[in-house]
Formats: sequence, C-alpha cells, structure tokens
Amino acid sequence: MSERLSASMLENKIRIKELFGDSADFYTKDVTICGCRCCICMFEGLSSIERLWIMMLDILSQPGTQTREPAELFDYLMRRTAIPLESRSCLCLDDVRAQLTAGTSVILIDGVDQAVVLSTQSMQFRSVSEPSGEGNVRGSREGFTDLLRINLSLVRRLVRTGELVTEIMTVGGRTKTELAMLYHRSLVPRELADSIRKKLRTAKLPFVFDTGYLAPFLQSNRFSFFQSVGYTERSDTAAAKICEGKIVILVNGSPFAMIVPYFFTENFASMDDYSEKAYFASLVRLIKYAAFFLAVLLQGVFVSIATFTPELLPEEMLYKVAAGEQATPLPLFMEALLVTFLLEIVREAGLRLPRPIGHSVSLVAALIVGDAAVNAGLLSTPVVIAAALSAICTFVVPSLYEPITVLRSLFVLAGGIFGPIGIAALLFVMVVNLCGMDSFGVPYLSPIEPPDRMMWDDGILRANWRKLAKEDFAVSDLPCETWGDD
Amino acid sequence: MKYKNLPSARLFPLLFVCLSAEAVVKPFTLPDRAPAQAAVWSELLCAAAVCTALIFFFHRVSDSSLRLLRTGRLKQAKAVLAWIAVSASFAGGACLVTAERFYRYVSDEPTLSLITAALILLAATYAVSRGVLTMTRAAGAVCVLFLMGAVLLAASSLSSARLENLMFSDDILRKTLRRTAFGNWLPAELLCFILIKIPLKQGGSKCACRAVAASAAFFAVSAVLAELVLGEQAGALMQPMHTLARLGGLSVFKRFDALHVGIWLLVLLLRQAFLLYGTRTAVRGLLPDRWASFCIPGAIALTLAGAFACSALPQGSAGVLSSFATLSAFGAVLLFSSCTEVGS
Repeated sequence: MSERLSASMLENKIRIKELFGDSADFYTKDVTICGCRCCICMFEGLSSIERLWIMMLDILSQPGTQTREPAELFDYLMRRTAIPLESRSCLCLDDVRAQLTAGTSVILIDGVDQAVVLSTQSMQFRSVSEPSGEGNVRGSREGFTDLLRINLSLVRRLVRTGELVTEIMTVGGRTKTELAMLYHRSLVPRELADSIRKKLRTAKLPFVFDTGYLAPFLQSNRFSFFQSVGYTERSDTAAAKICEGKIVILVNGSPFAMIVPYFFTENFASMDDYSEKAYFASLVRLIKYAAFFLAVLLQGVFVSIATFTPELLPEEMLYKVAAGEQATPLPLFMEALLVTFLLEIVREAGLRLPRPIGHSVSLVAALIVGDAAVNAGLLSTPVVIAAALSAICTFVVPSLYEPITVLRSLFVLAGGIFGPIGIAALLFVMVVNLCGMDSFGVPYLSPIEPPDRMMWDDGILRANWRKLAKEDFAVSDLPCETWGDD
Repeated sequence: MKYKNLPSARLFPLLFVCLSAEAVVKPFTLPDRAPAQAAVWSELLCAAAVCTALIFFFHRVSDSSLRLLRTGRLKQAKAVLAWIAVSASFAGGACLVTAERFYRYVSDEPTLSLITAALILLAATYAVSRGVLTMTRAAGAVCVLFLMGAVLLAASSLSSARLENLMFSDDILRKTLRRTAFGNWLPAELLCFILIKIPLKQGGSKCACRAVAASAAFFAVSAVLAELVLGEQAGALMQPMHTLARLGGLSVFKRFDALHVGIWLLVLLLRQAFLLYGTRTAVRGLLPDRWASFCIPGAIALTLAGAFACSALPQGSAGVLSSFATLSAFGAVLLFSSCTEVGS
C-alpha cells in the first residue's frame, strides 16, 4: 500500500519531488486559487499549462470569485463546478504517480489530504495510420497507434455495444505499463476471462514495451513450434475477434494487439476474406495452406529426393541437379542450409536498417551475392530456386514466419541426413505437436481437429455470409475435449 | 467453454488407421498366393469373429474392473498387465521390424536399420509423451490423408484394372482358412484400446467393432484392387499395394508412389506410437508410482526386445504368435474381471 497524502501541501510537494528524483521535466508551480494555497504538478511534454489555464485557472481567477476554506474548495471543485475534473481524486503517492505519468495535471491544496486531477494531456504521438504489416484491399485503413487510450477508442468506435468490457491493469515492475483487456461480456466464458486476468496480474516482468512480452505468461509451458496467441495491428481485426468471443490485450506503447485464444486456421484468414466472394476467399485460403506446407517442406523434400531417391526426379531435372551438385563443393543439404542462413541474414539486414538502405541491401544480396555465388559454383541453381520459392511461400503466411523458418531448417537437416524416413518422422512430430497444442483449453487445430461444422464454414474454406450469418459463432461453441486422468 | 469427455467414437480413426496399416504395408511374411476371393472371405470371417468376441468381452467386463486392472494394485492385475505388456511390445516390435523392412524395400539408398528404427521409436515416443488425446487428434489428420491416398491409388490404378484378372478358386474354403490362420487375426491394438482411460461401456465396443469392420472392408477392397490390376501376381508379391502405387499414374503424374509411401510411413509411425502407448500403460501399472518416469524407457526396451524376438522368428510366424498372445491377454483380462466381480 502506497503512502497516503498528508494535509500539508509542502510536505506532499517534497515527497512527490523525491518520488521523481528532482527530474528536470517535472514541473511544479505554487498558485493561489480562491484564497487557498495550491500547487500545480505536471510533466512537461505530457501535459499542457495552456490547457490547464483554459480549463480551470482562468475560470477560478475571474474577479468576484469567492474565497474559500481548503476543504470547501476541494468540495467545490469536485462536486459543484462545471470544471471537468477527473471523477477520482488522488489519495496516495501512487495515485499521483499514475496520474502524472499518464499526462494529467495534479493540483495539491494546502490543508487537504487529497489532490484533484485534471485531464490536460498534450503529448505527442504517432497518428492513426494504415498498418505496416497487414495490408488489405478492402475494409478499414486504420491501424493501432502507440497510445493505449487511442487504441481503446478505435475499438470502442467499432464495437458500440454495452457488452464490450475494457479492464485496465498495470504490469512491469519498473515501467508500470498500462495494459487493457477487452472482451465481449456475453460471449467470453467467465472462467476464460478470469484465467487470463489472473495470468496477466501475476506476470512478473521488469518492463513491458509490447504485448509479445506477455505471451509466455499466457501460454502453457510445454514446448511448441507454434504460438497459441495471435497479433494484429488492425482495429477492425481486433473488433472482429472480440465479436467472436475472444479476448484482445493492448499494451500502452505498442500498436500490436494480442488475441487470445488463437487457432492455427486463423493464420490463414484475413479481413479481406470476408469482403470477397466466398469461393475466391476459399481459394485464397487453400493457396495459403499450400504455401505453408511448401514453405516448410519444399527444401527438405528436395534435398531428400535429390540425395536419397533421385529416381523420383524427371530425367531432365535429375541431370541438372546432378550437374549442379558436381559443380559445388558442399553437399546438397549444407547448400540448402547455407542459402536459408543467408536469406535470414539478408532479411535481418533489410529489416533493421533504414528503409531506403534496407532495399539496397536486399538488392545487393539477391542480385550480386546470389548470382555471384551461383556463377562461382558455390551454390547450385536448383537449391537457390527451391530456397527462393520457400521464402516467397513463407511471406504468404507472415504470422507463421518463425515456426516456418525453424521447421524448414529442421526438415532440410532431417532430409539431408536421414532421407525420407527423417522427413516422415519429423512431419509426424510436427503433426503431433500441432495436435497436442491447446489454446486456453480449446484445441489449437480447431475447427479442423476435432472436426466441427466451422471447418468448412470458416476454417479451411469460407462459406458465404448468408450461411455464416445463420448461426452465431463464438469461440465458446468449439468443443473442448478432456481426457480425465490420462 | 464446453468441456466434455472424449467420446469413444473419436477413437475410431486411430483404431481404423492402426488396424488397416497391414493392408498397405504387409508384414513381409511369405506370400500366401491366396486369391482375392479368399481374402474377402477371410476378412469377413475374421471381422465377424473378432466383433462377436469384442461384444462378448465388453458385455462381460465392467469399466470398474478395467479401471482396477489399469492401476495394477492387485497381484492378479500385475500379472495380467505383464502379459498385456508382453503382447503389446511384441506387436510393437513386429511393427518396428515391418516399418524398417518396408523402408529398406522402398528406398534404394540404404540407411542403417538401427537409425531407421531409432527415428521411428523417437517419433513414437514423442507422440506417447503428448498423450493419447493428442494421438487421437493426429490420427484424424493421418486417417484423412490415408483415405485420400487410398482413393488416389484406386483412381490411378483403375485404368490398368481388368475384370478378367479376378481369380475364382474351387478350393476356396481351404484357402480362406489357411489365409486366416496365418494372418494377424487378432491385432494387439485392441488390447491397447481397452487400456485407454475412457468408459468403454459407453460405445467402446461399438467403436472397436466399427473399426474392425471398416479395416476388414479396407483389406478386402485392397486385395480385390490388387488382383484386378496385377492378376495372380498379386498373391505372389511381398508388397502388392506398393507395386500398385508404383505402376499407377494419372495423366503425366507417374510417381505417386512417393506420396503413398510418405503417407504409409506416417500410418506406421502412428501405429508404432499406439502400440508403444499400450506397452507404456501396462508398464505403468506394473511399476510403483515413484518409478513413473521409467515407464517410457521400459516400454521402449520391451518393444526393442519384441523387435529382436520378431526378427529371430521364422517368417510368417510373428503375426500368428502375436494374435495368440493377444487372445490369451484378452482371456486373462476376462478372467481377472470375473475374479474381481466375484470378490466384490
């Protein structure tokens, strides 16, 4: 429990200054309001003195304003004026810290052991713009920004029902970051909301700058290649997920909303699917599934076939592969691993550098290094083509980038060292791994396994809206299997 | 969330895939040279007998006695579990040997048998460690692939199918009985099924009987298809379905066998995992709680012992021996159940 404020303004002022260690951006000014000694506290850059003047000081300094006792002034400000003060006053130092760091102004009154709060935020922030990573042909162009309150308003604007609940809590021992948990009260089972709330509250983190920091605290401890939480930068996606009975978590300072629970099939869906014709959306989804399996398996299977069962290749291709292999110093699977490794280096280089230089790096890597490596006989053309195809397929399902990259390398290793049996064993392990995952009690492969009607309606394929709209769908409708004591 | 106990019907894909594995990957016994007609009758006969026996078994054995058996608290239960562990591990060993031989048969590049066996066991161990619920879900995916592969195989072979290839024998009864007697007429997977911790009285026998019937139908259809395409050669081949896969093609696509082999390897891995699960469950009942972490290593050791025993046996006897071991294990469970019910 934080220290309560005392009735002495001076003492409170000293304690607040101590709390912030005499920070240079911490601003205090003693003023007299209605004959009482007061002190304005705010952070420069977060709060604006001009707004404070317009909202309060100007009104209270009009000629003829009555002189009051401190307690009377507090009561007057809180209950009897039209000044838009925050409804809750600060009772303790922790309240003051929370309010000041949120950009509000805190006014201490000498002789009152509480402080009034006024919303005078005037901080600079990135404006609402189109998300960088989830482009859509149709639908909203709005993406989340960095400020939590703005993001909350973006969602609230789309889900204008009383059922939308927003719970705010603080995480991060050193940063005291605000996070919000948004859900539809009547669609989310109470035990799910309780469980996630408990996990968030007990997450012991020194600092939180993104929702991704919280993912390990929400997921089960069992190792898996895949994540049972999802992310979105789009407010319409977040709103849609809320309407499906999912919980959206937003963190102050990050434009990425976390979605829980999240299923495998959702990686292959996008907001555009629901605006387009059902048959086309279904085709696009099938292409995405195919791209995922190609991205994971293509290189490994190619290496395995070329090394262990070359008779499976058509003759013309076989000659080219054999000629390529003869001309290069490394075994095929090492070549494939090297190309994957180089691709990752190029991606990282392009990602972290400023955009114009990043593009140049990609061009240099692709045209000069790639071409030169093939011409110099360090890498064979079929391996480079297989790697390029895999990389392009990976970009079709960007949310699965991490597992695809790791699994692709593992399949190359398994195929190169053990051959078809290595591929089959690893594929079996991958399938078992996927089947064994649960996302907050619901199988991760839902609605494919266990099979549910939604598999054809909005899983592998997408039915048209006439059919989808007939039955309301919520995550809680999906079957959750238990196995007793096994 | 709508939590519900897994209905026993959800185990159908797991049982069906495991029971049908030998239809596509034969256990490398001597070719029986029996016509498809005999295979169909043999499968019908076997399915009818096994289903009747299962219905009788589930009628006589209560869920409470099976629960008591799994715990292994009584000495009699330990004895029965030990026998089940031996039966399941022998079948697991036979499956491992079959998988390894099949892999050697289909791949030109020799991979060390030990490496193949180790990889299969490793993958199966991972599946067992994730639990039978996970295996059930994985079986759903593998079953879909398996059936799609079977349809593709049939479609790609139909152009070579000739009705005149079907053989009709006068001595069908003798051939049917011979084929039945020398086959794996009582699979150990059914033993593993009764060890799963679900109330079997609620549709357990129905699920098992359906799986047995469906797999018998699959065996019969595959035998007929093989004979339609290969004629009398079908009976003389070690792996007729692989030959079918190798010969079949659609349009310009001629090498579907690679796809089929991939799917069949997944099926064999699932079967291996299920048999390992059965052995592990039986071993768990035998060991005290503090040794629970030794259950999986113990089950692997037993399976390896089963594989060695299976390799040492003369060709064709492993299936018969496994069937007799399973039959005696079922008998032991029946005996245990009647003893415990009389005792209570």
